[in-house]
Amino acid sequence: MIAKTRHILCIFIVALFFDALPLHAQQKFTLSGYLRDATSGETLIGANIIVEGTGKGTVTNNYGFYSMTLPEGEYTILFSYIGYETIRRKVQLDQKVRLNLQLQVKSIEADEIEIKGQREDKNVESTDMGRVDVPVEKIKTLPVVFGEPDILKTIQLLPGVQSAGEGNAGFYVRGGGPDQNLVLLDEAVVYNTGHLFGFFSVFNADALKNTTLIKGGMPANYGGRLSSVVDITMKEGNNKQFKGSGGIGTIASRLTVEGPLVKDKGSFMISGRRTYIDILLRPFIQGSSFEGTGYYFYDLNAKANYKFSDKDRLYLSGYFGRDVFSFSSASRQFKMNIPWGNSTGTLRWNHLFSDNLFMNVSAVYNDYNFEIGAQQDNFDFVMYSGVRDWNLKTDFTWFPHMQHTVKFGLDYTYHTFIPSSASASAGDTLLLPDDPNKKYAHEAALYALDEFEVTDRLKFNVGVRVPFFQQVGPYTEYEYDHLGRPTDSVVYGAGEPVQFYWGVEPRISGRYRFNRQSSVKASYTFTNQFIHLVANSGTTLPTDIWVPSSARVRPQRGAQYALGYYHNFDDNTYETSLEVFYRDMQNQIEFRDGYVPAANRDIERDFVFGEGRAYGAEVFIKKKYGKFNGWMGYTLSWTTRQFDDLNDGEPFPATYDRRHDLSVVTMYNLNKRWTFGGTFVFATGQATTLPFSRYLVDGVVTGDYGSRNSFRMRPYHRLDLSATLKPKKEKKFNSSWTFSIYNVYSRMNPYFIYFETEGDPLTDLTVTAKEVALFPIIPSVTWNFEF
Amino acid sequence: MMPTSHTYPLLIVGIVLCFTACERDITVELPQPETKIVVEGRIEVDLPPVVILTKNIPYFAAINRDEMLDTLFVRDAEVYVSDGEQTVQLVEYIQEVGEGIETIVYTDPNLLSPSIRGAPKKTYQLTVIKGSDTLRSTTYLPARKPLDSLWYRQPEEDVDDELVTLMCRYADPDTLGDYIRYFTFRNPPTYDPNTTDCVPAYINIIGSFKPGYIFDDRYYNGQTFDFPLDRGQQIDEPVDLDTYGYFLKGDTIVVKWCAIPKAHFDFWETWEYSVIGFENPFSAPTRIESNIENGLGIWGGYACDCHSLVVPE
Repeated sequence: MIAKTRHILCIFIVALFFDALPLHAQQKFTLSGYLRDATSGETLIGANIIVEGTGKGTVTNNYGFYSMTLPEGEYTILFSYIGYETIRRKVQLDQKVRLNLQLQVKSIEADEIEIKGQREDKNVESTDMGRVDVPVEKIKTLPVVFGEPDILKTIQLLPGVQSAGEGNAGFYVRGGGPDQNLVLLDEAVVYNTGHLFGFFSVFNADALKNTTLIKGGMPANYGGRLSSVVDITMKEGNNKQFKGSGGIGTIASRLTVEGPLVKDKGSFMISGRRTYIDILLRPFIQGSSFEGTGYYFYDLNAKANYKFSDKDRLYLSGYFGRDVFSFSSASRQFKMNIPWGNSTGTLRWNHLFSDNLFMNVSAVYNDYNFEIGAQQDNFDFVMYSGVRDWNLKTDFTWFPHMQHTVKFGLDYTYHTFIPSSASASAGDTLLLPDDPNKKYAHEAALYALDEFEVTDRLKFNVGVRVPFFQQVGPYTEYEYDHLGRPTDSVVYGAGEPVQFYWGVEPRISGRYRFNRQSSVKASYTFTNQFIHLVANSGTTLPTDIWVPSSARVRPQRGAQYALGYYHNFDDNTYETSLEVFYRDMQNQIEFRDGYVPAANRDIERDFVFGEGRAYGAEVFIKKKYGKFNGWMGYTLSWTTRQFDDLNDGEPFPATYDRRHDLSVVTMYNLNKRWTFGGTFVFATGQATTLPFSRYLVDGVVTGDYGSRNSFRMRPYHRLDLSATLKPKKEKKFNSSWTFSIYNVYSRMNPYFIYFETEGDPLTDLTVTAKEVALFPIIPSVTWNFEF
Repeated sequence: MMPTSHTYPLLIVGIVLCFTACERDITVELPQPETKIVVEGRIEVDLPPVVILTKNIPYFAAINRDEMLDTLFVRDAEVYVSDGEQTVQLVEYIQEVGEGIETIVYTDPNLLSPSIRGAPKKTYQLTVIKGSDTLRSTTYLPARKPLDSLWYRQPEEDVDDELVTLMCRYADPDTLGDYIRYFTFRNPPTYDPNTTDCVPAYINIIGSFKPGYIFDDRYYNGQTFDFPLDRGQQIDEPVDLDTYGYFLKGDTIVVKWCAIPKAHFDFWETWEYSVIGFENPFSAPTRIESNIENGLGIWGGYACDCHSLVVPE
């Protein structure tokens, strides 16, 4: 593998060198600048800058910055972004030119008469594979359960991405587990993405600007996860005027306030959301055994930025969210309080060293905490777990030449892992826990990549990432006897190395363009994952515990090969693609048979290790323009796992295995007032493990399970519809109504299967299988407003 | 003993479910299972070994009452227990457990003067031969670890003034790896409150003790502490939150407090989790850790002490 990497590095260096040669022959100048929304001043991410007549161009980065270096001359440059009016600008390039532009949001009427020949063809042109940008504003008219727009549920409608279950924001990408998705919010890792057991994601759509999903061909500037990257950016805030927006929904309400700190120089945004499930449910649970139960969640997003000069800009952003579940028994002295949630904080500094060298430095803090507190009589119990990161990173983007975009950087994180630790007291006696065995680790990575256009037809993105991981003390490593009692230990002091891993990760993708409408792409991605989450269930739970690699837990390693054909029709109105992929995953982790969750036990002792494999094909058809737009995605895939210690060593279907997965998403803009949306999903039934036989223990019916995931539930399918009404615009206050119907034909999709026994186990027992469906038809109304 | 992380998702799911969910009966096609012999064997201090042999049946199989003994129980098996010095072959008895309901138990041929009685700190091998199948297992009787004392307290929220909380003091030995399983019995017909001997209690009231919890001293190794001891009840009995765990005024309470070896603890822990977790949609199925080679179930040693308390009216 090292030889392969060396080979790739050679190509990279040689290509840069040869491309640099003509620099001496002809004078070149750089055109650079920022693209923003004309109304709010928000930077535009992934906007296109194209040199008319050549097809050559670039895109803005995550901060709205672009740069391209061209030979001296006069050019017509097109600046375009979907949903915005294209700007055509003549540029005389006889010196370096800084061009900051503001794009106007396009009206619906304008969309219909869009000038042909200007529409972006990024999916055919770029080397990206399996990359989808989802502007958050676009998802707000899609139908959703309980009327809560949710970015993670929207990306589940893309091919290769599967829902973790009914109404769930958790997702699996191309046969990988939920821990193999790197979810970033303004560069901070979000470890637990779900509220209320994943029924809602922690991302409040009002506070977000853009989401990028990369499910294959992960470029070298991302790493640390095997399956995918979901890179979410928060809104910066309107830097021209104070604005407010919000929504009142069926179960939650939102409010966002934004405005300039100093006009055109700095802005802020603050957004909050809270549920009132607890209040709504109270009448239903009164008198039931759930009386005394409370649950709510809330989120707070905040961001501020300030432009010190044309070269320096500072961003500060943060997220804080909590779920709180409480239970108190009215009839007895039992109380339980369970808060959990994420917090993140990101400080970023953008600096332009020159017109073609952009730098971003970020300092990031993030944590996830979970706690249970319970009291009964004189007995007190507290359990907590979590993960905390301090992260520093620097990313450079260098635009040395029209044919090259070079990115390089380094990334360092200090992790603290708090396993499930419990302490309890009975009266005055403190029942001390074992050593909670916190774990600490350094994780770092260096990377470099070059996206270079070899010819008009051939383009490569070649990169390499070199990650390092070191578990450090304080740590006590135990040896155990056959009864699981510690017999010997090695004590590591603070900062003392315990275990070290590193890797070389080649990343390469290439595109060959047949013509303006079609191209073929291929990619190879190798990744290491040093931190792991092993879930005892198919969904993400607040009790999920992240653990680092250690002497026993080796890094997960994965290779992904992908090949795709891309074709656009009707002047890029329709985008289509067919991608096939194959993934090979080493050191996959599951819980051993007979695992029972327990506090104060080093969870890695309950792990077993094996291999994973996934392969399949994805078809994507998208209509981007017109009154009627949307997409259709279909995935055919196989996902298996093989563990020597599970299922008698035989391969078994992973929980994430879905043979067929289809999503159809449509939107129809009838007129200025009405927009309609519809989604249809179909997926092969979930694989699950059922008992094949029963026996008695202590007179109680006990199941003996058959082979792992050998049973399929019925297929899942569902149709959702929505209608958004925008009443006539007013000067200072606008509002809209979104009517949504989830599960229109009330399909009783299986959520889980359980068995009911009746009668005496010895004489007349009957066993019935029951299938539980979670959500029947659910209508909802959300009122959104802006002022 | 304490709320565990797997109990509260049930509460939340319950809330969501009672709000929206719907359920229906379905037919599940399952493959024909391989027949396995299930051992429920125990050996207690001063008592002869007792082994019940049953077998698994297809998950949805119906029971015909007349053929129940042959459908569920394993008859005519050779069952041997050895303490390393001598070996005894257990014999098959038919035992009446309810009106017209019989079960089969293998135990010592001479119950009044058994050849092998359980003794602390000794190891016992079990061998079961049935047709071509041979099942083997070994268990161990740890030292007895009696409770210090029992008393009761009136719960503050008991407005009817009827309930009592049973309290106990336990001094855990200073070595890690002490496992306990306890049982309780309300109002036994005969019991001498001045003894901690479980033998007469066992003989007179077999099967009447209800299982309580299991304890692992990882959380409290070497400590002496007071805590409430819930009234035992079968795991599949419905829970009434108003009375769960309490005893009543006027009760005579017997607590059977048994030290068990680790494999025995692991069986009950995984079994409880498997049975409780069964209706928890979030949990993956837990495989029950059996110590029976070539079969299912448990061959477990118990070193028990019986403690009693009379709660006045």
